[in-house]
Amino acid sequence: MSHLHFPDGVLPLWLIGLGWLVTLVLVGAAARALRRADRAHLVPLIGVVSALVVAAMSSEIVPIAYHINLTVLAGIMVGPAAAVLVALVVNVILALFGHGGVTVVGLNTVEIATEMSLGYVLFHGIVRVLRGRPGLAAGLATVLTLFVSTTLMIGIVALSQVAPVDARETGALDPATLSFSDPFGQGLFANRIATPEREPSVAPAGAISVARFAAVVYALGLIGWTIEALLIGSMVSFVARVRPGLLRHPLLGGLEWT
Amino acid sequence: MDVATVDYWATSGRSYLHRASPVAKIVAAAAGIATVVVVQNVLVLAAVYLLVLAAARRARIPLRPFVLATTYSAVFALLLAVAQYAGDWVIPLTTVVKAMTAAAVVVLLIATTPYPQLFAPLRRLLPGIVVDVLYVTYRSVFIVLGVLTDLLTAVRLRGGFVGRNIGSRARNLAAAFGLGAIHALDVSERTYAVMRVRGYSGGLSGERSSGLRGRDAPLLMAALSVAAVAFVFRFQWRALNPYSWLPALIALVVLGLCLALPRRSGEEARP
Repeated sequence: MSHLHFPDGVLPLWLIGLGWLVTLVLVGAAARALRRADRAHLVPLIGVVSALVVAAMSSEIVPIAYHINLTVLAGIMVGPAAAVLVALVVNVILALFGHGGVTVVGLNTVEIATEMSLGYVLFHGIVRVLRGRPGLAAGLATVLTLFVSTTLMIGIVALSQVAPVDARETGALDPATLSFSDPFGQGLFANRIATPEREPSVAPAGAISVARFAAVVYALGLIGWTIEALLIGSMVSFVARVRPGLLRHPLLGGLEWT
Repeated sequence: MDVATVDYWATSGRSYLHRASPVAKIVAAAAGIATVVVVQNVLVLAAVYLLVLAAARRARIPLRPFVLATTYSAVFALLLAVAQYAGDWVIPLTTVVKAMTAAAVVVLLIATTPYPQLFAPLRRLLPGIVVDVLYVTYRSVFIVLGVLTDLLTAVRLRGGFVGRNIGSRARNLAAAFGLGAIHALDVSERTYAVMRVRGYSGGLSGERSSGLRGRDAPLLMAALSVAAVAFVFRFQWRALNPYSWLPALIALVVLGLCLALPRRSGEEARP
């Protein structure tokens, strides 16, 4: 539930463009932050962590439309700067397999990079309080992170004004009247591709749609967050026992917490 | 989503689409995505989806797993469709069909283009490190999936998933995933060593991007024609709305013909 599975053509163009713009800025900042790292070391590490996340996200729990993300674990392992590159690469590959739209890769990158970075910060913050219990810290960080990222996703839906009334005016066939709205009604570019289209006579109903969307994703998300928190908590606990160095990778400037 | 199967389709096929240049296929896929973005008529979108299925059929891709791959995105689109439902089913259905059509376009692209060829043109657009990571990631996905599968098999054979104690089973599963993560990072260390030995200094060679060729013309014309028709249906909706069924019917006939046409033996891509 951590990222948008919106198909292409649902979100307004300005939002998609904003997502790409922020992604470009983030990638530039990440490249700058990592410029002193050994690239021969960085490329396989980011590649393998990205592959882990792709493999996890490829396994869907169909009844609740959820898949394991491993984003918090990835954030803990590579740190915030490399997490931006991981998020971009993961989204590009997932989009190539039809998992989320191609045009929303930018927004999804922002969402997942935020999730990984937040997971990293929260884990290192909580583990200082819960010394000796990294698994519990990772579980708590996962729940908090997924709650924040899901709320961010709902915020994007609200921003996009995805609502039944808005969608109706984009020209979809109305079975009752067999009519479409006029894409040129408010000028050549007054369609949803450039600007959200709304006829003055129709009141916006975005709140209803967002409320229902929030109810669905929070309800299903709670189940998913629990599964994810248990899994990541156990994984981090295991890794901390077997190879603690992986949780504070020196290459990427991880923090000491033991 | 079976990554290995899609990769097998891409590398084993010998159809016209497989032999077309990656740039032409990327342009055609971009036209398909643009169509999905612009068009809101569910019947026109369905027509595009059926035409992509027909193209997949001609590319000798088994249709059942291909359709399954496209429905993967529909499951998630249903969340949005539920939020959009306000008494009629057309808007939610449009969202779901949009998801499936866009997924069909990109899955057809990657199912007919081996990933080194697909990523090569990206080197002109993206920073080198991102393209290098894309190569390594795509290759590593298969390694990671193999490692995880082997670990889960080992845990199962040792009785790790036997018994009614869900907590114990979950711990074993998490340990397997944790070990998988460690193995995966070991793989990255080995890859690092190999890259060092081979003198990596930024920029995996990969395949060179080939430009457009004459034989790409039919593909480009077909893709751009479909996009043009869809755009006309979008922007001349008032006149063309009563004929929305026509593109869907034509696409259905095309798909039917593709299904009826005999296939040459030995060209079927099998998962």
